[in-house]
Amino acid sequence: MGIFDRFKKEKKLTIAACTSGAVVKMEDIPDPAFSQGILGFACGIEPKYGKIFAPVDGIVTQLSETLHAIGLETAEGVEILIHIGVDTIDMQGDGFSAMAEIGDTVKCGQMLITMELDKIRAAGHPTVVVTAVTNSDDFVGVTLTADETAEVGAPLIDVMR
Amino acid sequence: MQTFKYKINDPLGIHARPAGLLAKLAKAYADTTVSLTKGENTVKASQLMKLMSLAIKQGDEVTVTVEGEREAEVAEAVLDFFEKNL
Repeated sequence: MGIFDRFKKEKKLTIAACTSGAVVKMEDIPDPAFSQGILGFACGIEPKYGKIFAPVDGIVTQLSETLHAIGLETAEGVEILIHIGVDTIDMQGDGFSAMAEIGDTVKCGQMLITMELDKIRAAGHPTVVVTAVTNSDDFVGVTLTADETAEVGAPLIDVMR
Repeated sequence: MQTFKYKINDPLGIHARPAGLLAKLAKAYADTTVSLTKGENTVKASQLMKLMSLAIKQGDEVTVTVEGEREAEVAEAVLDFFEKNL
């Protein structure tokens, strides 16, 4: 690896897919808070199964009591919010289980949350899982790198410092 | 410094959507700092993830503190946001 490659590597953080399924572009997420960028750069994955894995190495900084959203922060200061489904806060945690808690150090690929997709559908909510870089304004560029489908652990978003 | 207390009426509290809107509002005033206090914890309203980590629920009382060049104007805008959204 040359000096230039190393420089490039240090300037870029790759966020992996936290689950597997069809990729939903930011503007197509059926929740205006995300599609309008209010919560930072975002993209969705229409999950094939009800499991969420850490998309980066980091610390759990936020976990809602209703377990439908979890926040992580990386050593580089990138803040990532994973939000499961739309308006699923209404479900008050029913169908969701968390395998991590606030303050935990997690490794990319570690399981964080399981959710029952059937229960989310039965409650009348879209199941799309959103990965948002809530402080994307603080970085030079944040881009979606995945194509039409994402596999858990494969690159999803690049953050350039 | 301007400060006011507000009791949250929204049944869902300050969850992702209102937190995002509030952080955006706070960020729009670079010369003025908006802070929220719940119990012993105080966070800057512009820091979305920290704001969400306060887990503010219906019935919680928060103290909003505004400091800076345009504190009177910003305090009014923030109070208006709380009344309309929370």
